[in-house]
Amino acid sequence: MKKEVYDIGGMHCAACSSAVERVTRKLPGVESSDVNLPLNRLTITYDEDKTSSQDIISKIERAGFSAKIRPIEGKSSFGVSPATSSASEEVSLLQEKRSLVTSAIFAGLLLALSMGHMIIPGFPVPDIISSDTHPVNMAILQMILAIPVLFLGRRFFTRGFSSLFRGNPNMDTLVALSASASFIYSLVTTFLITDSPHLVHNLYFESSAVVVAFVSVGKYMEANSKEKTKGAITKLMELAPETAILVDEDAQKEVSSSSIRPGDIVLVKAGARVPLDGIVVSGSGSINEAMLTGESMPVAKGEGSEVIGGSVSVDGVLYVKVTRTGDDTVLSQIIRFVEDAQEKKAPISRLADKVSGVFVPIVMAIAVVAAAIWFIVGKDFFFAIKIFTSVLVIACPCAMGLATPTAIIVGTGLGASRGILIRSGEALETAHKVSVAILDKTGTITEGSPIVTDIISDDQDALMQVGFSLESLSEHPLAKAVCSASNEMGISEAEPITGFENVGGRGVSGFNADGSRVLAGSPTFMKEMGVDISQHEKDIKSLQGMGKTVICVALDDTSLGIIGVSDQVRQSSRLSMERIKSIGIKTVLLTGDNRAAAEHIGDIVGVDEIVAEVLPTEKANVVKRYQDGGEIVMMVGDGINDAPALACADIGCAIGSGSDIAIDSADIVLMNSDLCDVARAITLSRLTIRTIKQNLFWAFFYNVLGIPIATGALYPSFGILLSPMVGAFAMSLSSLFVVSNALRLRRKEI
Amino acid sequence: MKTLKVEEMHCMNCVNRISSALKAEAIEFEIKLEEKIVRVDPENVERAIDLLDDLGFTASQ
Repeated sequence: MKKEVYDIGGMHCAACSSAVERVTRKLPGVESSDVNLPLNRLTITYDEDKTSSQDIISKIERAGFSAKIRPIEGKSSFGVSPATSSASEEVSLLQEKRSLVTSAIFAGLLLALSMGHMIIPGFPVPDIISSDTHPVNMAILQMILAIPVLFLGRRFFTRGFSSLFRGNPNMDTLVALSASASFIYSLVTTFLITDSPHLVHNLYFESSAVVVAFVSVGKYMEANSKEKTKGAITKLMELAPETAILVDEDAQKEVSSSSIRPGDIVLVKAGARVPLDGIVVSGSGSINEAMLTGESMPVAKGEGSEVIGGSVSVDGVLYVKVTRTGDDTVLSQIIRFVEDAQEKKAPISRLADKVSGVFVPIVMAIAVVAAAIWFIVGKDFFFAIKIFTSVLVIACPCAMGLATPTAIIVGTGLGASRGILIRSGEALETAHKVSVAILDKTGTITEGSPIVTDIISDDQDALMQVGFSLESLSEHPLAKAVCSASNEMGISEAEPITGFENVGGRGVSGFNADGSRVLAGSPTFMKEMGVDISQHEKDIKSLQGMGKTVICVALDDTSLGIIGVSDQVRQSSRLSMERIKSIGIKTVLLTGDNRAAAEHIGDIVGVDEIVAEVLPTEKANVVKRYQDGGEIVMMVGDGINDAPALACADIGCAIGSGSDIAIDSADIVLMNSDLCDVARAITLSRLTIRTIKQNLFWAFFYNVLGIPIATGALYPSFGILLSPMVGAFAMSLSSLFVVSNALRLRRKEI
Repeated sequence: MKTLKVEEMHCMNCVNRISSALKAEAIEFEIKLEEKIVRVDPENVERAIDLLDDLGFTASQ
């Protein structure tokens, strides 16, 4: 199988990237094909015997895009070369800035020439181009100054008219029609000046140029803001080191990170970035995982510790066995998460698109009708054209198109920098409506690493031997705690067990070498299996009252004793509950534990409600019950056992360490093991939605205020008209406001 | 004209790609992005569906 990366040209949106993926996946022998839209890149793995690079390129070109293969050498192990990807975008932005400056110079000169005398009485104009003495020269000069501006902004005309002729007018159509109307009208007037010199004062070359210039400013600001707001992705990509020190037997050599494979050993020295995800096989040190968790305190790492690619070694020397490379690394998953969030449109954004789609034809109709009415009531053609162009320009809903995406990009970027990963704009939008947070106990409110604290038995060795033999066959955290305690007691060999059965959520059973039935599980499980545990009732109640989980062990129908297991409550849990409640969210503890233990934990952390003795398969039903009661439910779990409940909830929130995240199942992933991030995520969502609403209001406000004035509604009473130039300026101002308002979100505390 | 539903149409770039491809094959067409439909003359429906497939769109009648 061969893996290649292609630069793809012509993609604009998620539909384009999906199309490229679809067509390439149809090629024979293609194992995987994934497009990274922000980087315009396709990564494809295929069987060289069944298809070729040329086949891939041809397929993509037939779909209407361009494709060029990228050299493998030099690219990072994360599949991208951060320096190159941002460099091409920077070049594009620089070119756009140069065009803008050129347009501004010509438009400025044109404005000075045509309107300077109105603002500054006695404004000096050479006689050869004076409106009074040489009106034709003045007109021609204005036209010459306007043409470069219109040329540099030609994309508005090509896109705008193309959309109009296809029956799908959009924002570019408004700009194209307005600028074209002003220019053509002025061109015709130029030819008439010879016979009617006064017509030199009815030219609108400056309107056409200034409209295009101002709209270009708005588009540049949009592109610039998108680059700034996508800084989260760029910063994450820059964490990927290009090279690594490969340890091969006794030799060490620096190699490209992209050549490292799982199983290789790499050396991480103090001050260096960990090149890839792995496990420490030798050495010790401290690692700064701030890029992942937002926490700048270094974490001690030793043999057996997991390390994440992109994190920084603070001190010590670590020999790391690589476990994940390429798209499988945690960093790649985070980047994909953030990209997904920025690409998928929130419902409110789709609403803005729909409104824009209807708005443009309505505005065109208003422009035509207003111009026609003024013409009919006796105003001249020039007046009517001025009204027509003013309405089109002021109504340009550019700001509306920016209102939502800029806020979402900034919001998700801000979340990512705090270790809060939000999967989609839709998740960001729904999270602000959450009214109930249901939190799983084990691994969420507690550390998820239970330990044995009590062994009550007449023969502890016999008890733990049977317990170890059974629990060594289970992956449950409680089973691991029993095994760990048994090892500490010197019991490390499990007796052979046949007929092992895991009765979900309650206990395990099997048969030992003598054919005797052995059981380990909850007191309820024991009673169901007919084991008499009455002699342990007092101890069981006592342990449960302290919030501990009780495991009973039996041989045939005889109880061998009980084991008390305790899972420590996270240090941040109580504070987190207070923070969640302080923002008006009801907190619910959901656990399979018995009522007494659940209430003990619930009292410690201060939840509002407790739902106990719930089997894993019933957790989703609990979520549904609250939803049926009209609540918007956020389910917070460790993402593994809680998958159905996470999927059922309005917002599924996974909490866990970097290497254990079940990113694909959750809407929000909290990279820190800090429940305070639940409140932060909801606060972030509320701030983002507030910003979007502010943006939409201002975007509409400008249009709603401007359109009536542009139609001349105030002219009969107050003599007020809106010149196309002022309209273009106001429209750009609204875009600037919307973008600035979104960028303010970056400085908010959550 | 026969109507084809093309759910994956998203933006003007999609419209432009479809237009260019259908024009190149001299197929008469009409595109409504808002409704996500492409109308083609009845004799060219199958060809249009194949062309749309080549472009990465799934068209249904």
